[in-house]
Amino acid sequence: MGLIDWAKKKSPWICHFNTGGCNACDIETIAALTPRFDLERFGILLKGSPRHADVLVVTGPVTLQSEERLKRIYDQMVEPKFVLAIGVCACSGGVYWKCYNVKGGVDSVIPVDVYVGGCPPRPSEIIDGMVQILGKMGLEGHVIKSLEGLAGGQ
Amino acid sequence: MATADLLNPVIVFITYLGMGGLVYLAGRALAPAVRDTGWKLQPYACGEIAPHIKMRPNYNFYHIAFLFTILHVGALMTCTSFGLISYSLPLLYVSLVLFGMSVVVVR
Repeated sequence: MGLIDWAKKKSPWICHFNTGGCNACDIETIAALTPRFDLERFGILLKGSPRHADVLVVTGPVTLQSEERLKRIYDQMVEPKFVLAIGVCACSGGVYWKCYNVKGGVDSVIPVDVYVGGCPPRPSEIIDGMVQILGKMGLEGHVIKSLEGLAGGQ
Repeated sequence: MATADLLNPVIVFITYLGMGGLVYLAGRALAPAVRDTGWKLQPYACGEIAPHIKMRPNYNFYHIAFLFTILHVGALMTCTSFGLISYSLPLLYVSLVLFGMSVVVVR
């Protein structure tokens, strides 16, 4: 494991962007981060700027108004960057598919690494999505080991 | 070299400047190369296009900050040295402070 991977192991920070959703996925995302599900125990912190984030967490269908803004935020992230689409609207447009003011899912604007379906998805599913992202980063072992430890403790 | 020499403000400043430079160079060496694509190097403004506004500093506050600093330094000098070294030097310093303040207020 390289020095950068070692440093990232406990700090895969995320940046959250709502492209026009109903906020249900946002609430579940926050629930996944806050103490009940506590995604932060793996060092996955929510940051206010994409400049500080490794993963862009997107919720909601991409509206025509948010399309350019999403592109800008993605461009401003540091390399290497990953995108997690949360909820069926972010995955494909959902019930807003082909709506007059909707571009489509997140992958119609920027590349997406992991899709988490559901309307809204449960925090446990969001955690699973993050584990998939960490797998793409080559860092999943740390989190999976922690989860196994927790399961063993219960 | 004695400890007092190492704590000289100039040496401390140069040491910290060097340490800051080392951290910066290490960061540049470890980070991937920056690819200036799209909006990569533009200021972050929550996805909005950041307006390019020339900053015009307001110097009105400078006078307040100046008076604040002078009064604090004057009070510090008076409290810490009055009677310990001499009585005349702190009084001279305070008189100079008052003179400086009067110049600022008059101008």
